[in-house]
Order: sequence, then C-alpha cells, then structure tokens
Amino acid sequence: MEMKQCTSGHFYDQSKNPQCPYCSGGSDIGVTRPLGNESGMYKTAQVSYAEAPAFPKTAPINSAMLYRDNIPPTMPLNSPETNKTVALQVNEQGIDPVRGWLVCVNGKKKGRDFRIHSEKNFIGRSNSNDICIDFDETISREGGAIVTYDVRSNKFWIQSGDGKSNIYLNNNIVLVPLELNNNDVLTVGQTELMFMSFCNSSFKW
Amino acid sequence: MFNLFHKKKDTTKKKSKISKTTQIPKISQPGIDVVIDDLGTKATFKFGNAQHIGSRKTQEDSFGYSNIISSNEISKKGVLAVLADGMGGLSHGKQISEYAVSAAIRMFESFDYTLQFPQQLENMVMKINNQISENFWANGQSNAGSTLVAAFFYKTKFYWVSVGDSRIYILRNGGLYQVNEDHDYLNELLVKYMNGDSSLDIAKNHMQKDSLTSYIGNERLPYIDNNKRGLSLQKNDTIILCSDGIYNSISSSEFILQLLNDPQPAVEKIVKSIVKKKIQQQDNLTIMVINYN
Repeated sequence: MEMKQCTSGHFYDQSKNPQCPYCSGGSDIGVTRPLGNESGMYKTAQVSYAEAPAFPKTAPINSAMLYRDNIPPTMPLNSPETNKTVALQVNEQGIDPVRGWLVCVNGKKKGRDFRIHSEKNFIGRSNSNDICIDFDETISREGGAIVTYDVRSNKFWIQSGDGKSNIYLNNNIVLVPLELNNNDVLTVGQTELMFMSFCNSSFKW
Repeated sequence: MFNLFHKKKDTTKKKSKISKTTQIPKISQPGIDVVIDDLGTKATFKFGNAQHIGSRKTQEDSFGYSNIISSNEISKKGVLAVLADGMGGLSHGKQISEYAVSAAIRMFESFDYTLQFPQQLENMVMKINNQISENFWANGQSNAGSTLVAAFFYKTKFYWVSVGDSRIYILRNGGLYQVNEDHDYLNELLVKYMNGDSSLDIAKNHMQKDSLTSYIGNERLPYIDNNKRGLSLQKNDTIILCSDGIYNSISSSEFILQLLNDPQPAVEKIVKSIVKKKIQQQDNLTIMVINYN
C-alpha cells in the first residue's frame, strides 16, 4: 500500500485509488439507494427525501416540529447541570490571558519563567501540570502545589497540594492558603520561584 | 470354504487434532517514527481511516487528520484527528460537519504549545460552534448541526474533546473502553433511572432517546466533554474515533478482533463487514484509528 494524504486531511491508498476516494463527499463509496419510508421503525425516524423535508435520525432534542419553516430556534434540554464546562474570561482568540508569573530564581533552571493563568495552576514535575518543574527530582509528579488567581478579587493565592512534600512561602511553611504578593519567594522541592503579578491593583483584564 | 479375511474397518472416527502450526494472518502496514520527548526517544504511529455512505442518500459524515505523512511535522506539532457526523436535511449536515473538520485542523495549526491543551481544545470547539451558529442560524435554518470528536496526540499524551454521540474508544491490552460520554437523550434518561426518577423501560423505549442533547450548531452548546489532564499513552494503545454508523452495527468482539490488525487494514475490514450485513437504514459510517507503539 502507498498511503498518501489529500488536502482535506484524508488518508488513502494511492496504489488503489489515483485520487482521494473520500473527497467526493464519500457519496461515491457505496451504493446510493433511495430511502425507504418506514417511519414506524425506531432505529431511524427518517422520512423519504422525495416527500416531506428530511427529519434526521439524530435530531436536536426538541424537534417535535417536523416542518422546516416553522422551526423556532432549538432550545437546549433543560437540565439541572447546564454548561458542564465553561471557560471563564476568554478573549476572542480563545486564549486565557496571562495573569502573573513565577520565575525560577534558584534551582537547576534559574531564570526560567512560568505563566500563571486564571483559576488554579497546578505545580508539579509531570507535564500535565500547568507549571511543570521537570528539572527538580524532589518535586512530586502530581499534587505539588497550587497557585490560584481569583478573577473576582484580582488576587493570587498559594496552597499546598496533595503530595507528600511541604512548600514554603518566604521560608515559612504553607499549611493554609496564603495570599501572594509581588516578590514573594515560593520554595517547592529544591526550586525557588519568585512571584510577580501582572493583574493587580494597577491593571486588570 | 471362504477365506474371509475381512479387514476390520477402522470404524472409530479419527479424533480431530489441533494442527501443529496455525498462522493467523495479520495484515500490517508501515508506521511512522516520531520523537516523543526531549531526549529523542521515538515511538511509532500508524494511522487508518475509512468511510462508507451506508444506505443513506448522502454522506454527511466528515473526517480528517492533520499532517500524518511527515515525521518531522508530527514530532514538532503532534497529530489531530477529527470526525464529525452531520445531521439536518438538505445537505446542511454535510456542510456543517465538513466545516467543523476543516476549521478544527486549521485551528490546530495555531495551537500554542506552551499552554494547556485541554483548554485549547475546548476553546476550539466553542469557536467552531460560534462560527457555525452565526452562519447557519442567520439564514433561518435550524435543526442542522453536527457532532464533533477530536483527538490530539502530542509527545506521550493523548487529549480529546467531544460533543454529540460520535465516540472515542481506547483499545488497551485487549480491553475496549469508551472514553467520551454520549450526548444523547438516552444517557440523560439512564441517569434519571439510576437516580430513581424514572424507569429503565421508559429509557429504552422513549421516542426521542437518540436525539442529541449537545451538538455543534446549537447556540448554547450545553455540554462539552473533554479530558482535563491528558492520558499517557502506553505501548500498543489504539485510539478509535467513529460515528454511530459504526458502533451501532458491529459487536464489540468483532470490533476488537479486527482492531488487532494494523489500523488501515482494520478499518477497511470493519467497514466492509458492516456494509456486507446490509442493515436497513444503515447510517453513514466513518472510522479513524490511531495506533501508538
């Protein structure tokens, strides 16, 4: 087989097809048969295309309306937990803007900076963390520490995570969430990070 | 005097024996080697995709991969696999699903590799939804929409996002696991049943059980399913994206059996076997498979 990729992103075998077989809309693949008229079947509620406007099998929940012209905008299903995941404070390009920084002032990668975004920023060694300190072996992979930015109060807080190790703020142990101020130094494992805010009393998004 | 030398016929049936060597034909394809960490460690990716119209009049499913031919591109930017199942008559379903797939691949090109991926994938879905809602709602069309499932592979991790009832599965160590949640009414009814507010009968027989509760094209986009921290890939993990035309028409055991082969041969066989069954009203079927080793 000689696999190639077409401009639409389809993967096809050039030794079998001189051109992408999926780009014709996939209608050439398979026999096009006219639809049956079984509205009684529960598998689909599809009406023959020749007659009434099509009523697709997967239809939005409130489609009691069968006729295209009378369809009001589809209302979402009323359920107690709407909006499972909503992004807060997202700008036009869908990026959560920078709120502050943690800069490594002591440690293997001295000088390296990390961005702080809104809400919780997880610190740890694994790269699933927002702030990934992959150069310090004494830091746990997950559950290291959490820096959180609260949009409402425009403030930053540090709290300890679920891991074993302790973290220190200006050499004092962090046992309860503490507020972060400019030039505070966090010690996580063997790395020291200095905090600088971008969003503060003089600026807010 | 007869000399009857009847050779006693050996009437006992020959016991069937397991043959000494049996070869299960495994169809394979070449893979592509990709660098997966800062030390230069490599992994091999294999990709497959296949599609069929089923017994419908038009193909409303769309799908696509970002660049999967250049090892350099994959090592640098990762891979995005997108699949969308369009719905709505008069080809709007196709337009929407096609737009969603190409928009997703376009947005993948501007991913920021220093920011969190789950958030970027979620934003991508919301942005696509806004763009579609503007274009389609503005013309007074409604009821048109599409599901959307996208899987993003970068270094050793796998991130995904999903809206609607298309599915993402992971095949790991012979076990098949569905990774996303179906956004259809049946799911809600089942939750109600488990909370004691409804009955299993109502759930199974509700007229609108297959209707979607969240999909692209819906102004509000009630649910977006995604993983928050990325799933670490293990050797020989296989990720599958497919529309309901596939999962409603094949048994899990057959599915898994075919997926033991390499992706491209596997998807072709799966599609072939479903088409052969000639199921009435067979929906559009699309499947994408990614193997990591």
